[in-house]
Amino acid sequence: MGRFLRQGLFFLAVVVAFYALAMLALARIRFQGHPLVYRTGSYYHLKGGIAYAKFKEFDHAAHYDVIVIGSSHAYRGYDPRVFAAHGLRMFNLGSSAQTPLNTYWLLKEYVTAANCGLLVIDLYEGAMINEGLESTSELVMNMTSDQAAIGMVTDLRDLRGLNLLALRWCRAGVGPDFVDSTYRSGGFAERTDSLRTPISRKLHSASPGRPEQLRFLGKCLELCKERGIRVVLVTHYYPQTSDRTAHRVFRVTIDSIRAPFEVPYLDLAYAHQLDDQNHFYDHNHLNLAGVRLFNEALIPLILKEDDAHQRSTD
Amino acid sequence: MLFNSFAFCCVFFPLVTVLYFVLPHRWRWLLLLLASCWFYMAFVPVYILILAFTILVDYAAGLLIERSEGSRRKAWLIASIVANLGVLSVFKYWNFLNQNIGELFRSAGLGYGVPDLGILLPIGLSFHTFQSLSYTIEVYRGGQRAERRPGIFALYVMFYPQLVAGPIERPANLLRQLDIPMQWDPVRVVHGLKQMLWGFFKKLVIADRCAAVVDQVYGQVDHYEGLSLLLATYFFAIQIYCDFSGYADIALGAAKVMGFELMVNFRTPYRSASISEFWSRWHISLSSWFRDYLYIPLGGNRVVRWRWYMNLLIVFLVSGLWHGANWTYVVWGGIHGLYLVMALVLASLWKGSGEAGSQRPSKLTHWFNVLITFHLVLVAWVFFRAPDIGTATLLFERIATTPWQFTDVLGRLKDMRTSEVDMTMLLAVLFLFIDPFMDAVVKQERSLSGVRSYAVFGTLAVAIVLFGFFGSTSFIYFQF
Repeated sequence: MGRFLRQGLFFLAVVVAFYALAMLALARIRFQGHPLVYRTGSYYHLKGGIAYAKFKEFDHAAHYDVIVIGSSHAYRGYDPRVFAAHGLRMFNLGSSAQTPLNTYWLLKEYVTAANCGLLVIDLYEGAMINEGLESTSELVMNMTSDQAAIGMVTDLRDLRGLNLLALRWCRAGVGPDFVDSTYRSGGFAERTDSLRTPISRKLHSASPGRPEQLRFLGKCLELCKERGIRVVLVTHYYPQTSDRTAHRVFRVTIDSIRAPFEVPYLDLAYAHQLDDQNHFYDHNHLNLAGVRLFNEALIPLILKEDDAHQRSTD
Repeated sequence: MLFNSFAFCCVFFPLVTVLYFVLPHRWRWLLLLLASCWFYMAFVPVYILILAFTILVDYAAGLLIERSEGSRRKAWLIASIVANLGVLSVFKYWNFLNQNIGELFRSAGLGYGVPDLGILLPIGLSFHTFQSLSYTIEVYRGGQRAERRPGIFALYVMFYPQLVAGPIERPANLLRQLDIPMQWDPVRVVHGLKQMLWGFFKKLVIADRCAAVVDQVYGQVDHYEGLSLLLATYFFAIQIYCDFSGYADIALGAAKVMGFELMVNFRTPYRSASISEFWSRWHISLSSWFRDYLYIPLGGNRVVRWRWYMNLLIVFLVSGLWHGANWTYVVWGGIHGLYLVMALVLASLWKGSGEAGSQRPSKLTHWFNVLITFHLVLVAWVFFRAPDIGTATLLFERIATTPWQFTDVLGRLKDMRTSEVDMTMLLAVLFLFIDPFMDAVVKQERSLSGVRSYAVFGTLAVAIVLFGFFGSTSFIYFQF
């Protein structure tokens, strides 16, 4: 038995050594302008872009009146310039297809009661039906926190996460592969183009979301409660002509998760008069004109909700 | 439970294996039976009742056959066959039969209102039904004593490594081994683990990567042109081989770790130089089942020539239907039956002309035959993979009529990420080169020195992590 275990450990050491060498080679050797590793699987995310710029800019020591977190709805839908016009310093920690699993680790490593006056978690059902690989890939490549990267990959329970971590470390000293010109500042990225075509489609099929993602949403709220972070849940504007069935199912699920934590939820998905063709740049993202109208309407609402919530808990 | 799931690799397999060796022999059958139930119930729990029915019927039938004489003996065997095939008919073939009868009625202008059954096909139903049937047939033939212990018989039908996708075991092999007190043997355990690793490589790195291309193209045949369709069909040939033989390797390896030797199900079938050789190397446990329990009882080749051909056709049509309740499978089986009949006809003509030689074919002739055989198999795979006959014929039509643009083939696989297609091509070609070597190594027909073994299997493990497709995709043969 002892020999068997020794052989097993030696084999494991061989595998680790081979793996490190292979990953180093794939991360360093370039092919058609990019490291070779990007030809081995489509789940790898290039270093750079909105997420890279965002984490470079985020200041742990600063105090933000509002921090927004969530999927692309968050980083494309909440403009710090509009918040600043209302006297609020805001930072946007949203990322592509960010799932509650990712949100949980971002909150754990980046948000405290000291640096965040109010946390806005943007909820979108599309992010809830995702296993989290896409968002983890982008975040692991671009986040500044090793702990958050390791945590996300561990909770993802997918061997591909190991490759993402290895690639992160192999490319640690290397600069970004690209820059996203839509990035402004404070974590926000703007789009000014318009959809210009009518929408008549389902955003997603009716599903309450993946159980593990719903569990992580609960964990996010629990963490905020433990740390004394004030939270408002928000769902941002959806095109009026999109199918509403999936959102109704989603809302019921969210209500059941937030109830024990008594967290307010502003479901604004269809509570607006925006024009689908001129205020959205695709079937579910607001363009800059839409963002301004949305933010102007939202800011008084979240302040009111937060105020009411604070008074009720005092 | 899927072999390529976190639950199997990190919890089920290590736990069951450790407990198996910790427990005294007299309790091991119970552990394996409970583990097999857990394994099966991870899919659709209630379907364990169907398995329980099959086990009860065949357990009782075995005892009754052994105790009876003459026509009563035969009657019990028939009862067992009817019960087993009855379950198979209801769950697997009812909707197919019903839809075809409905079509017939409608084409005759008659109304037909019998509804389909809204049920899912129990996983691996055809596999365990055939395994259970082989037991009652063997007891009837006198080649196997009826098993008195119901738990042991249940374990024979439900042994988890081969429960849902074979190999279809025979009582003479598996039932006998259940009584042997297996010892911990590190050398054998290592061999088993190596075979499992090779199986995982085939499934995760080759089969599932190929599947991404195949599913895309076969899902929209009318969107793609000649070369892309042909490429997808080559990918499917590799996918189905790696998927099914990968499963078999994991099954054989997992059983070997505990000391059980299951039937070898594949022997590098794409290196066959004839269709009959292909069937002696592909899904061996099923082909030998049909040979022993259908082909030979029909008379085999000891009958007049036309009857011999008919026997072959019957066996392959039934084999096609065994795979699935769809005309595509029947056509697939029929094509293979026709290939064999044509080969026999040509061989007899060849012999008649006096040109037959006894010397071995040259290497060049051999590899030419391998190439021809592979492409004949490839033609039949189109029907196996296509969702219906119309799609299969459309695919052939488009291969023949649309332009073949070599420079643009990757671009034509539109909607696909290029990295997946070119990496898949590279890995698939590499696989074809290493498969014969690795197959011999995991079957212990070829040995590797310590350093080489670490290098080869270490590379496999790294390749799985780096290039594997994860997400617990099911195995193709589970649906049968």
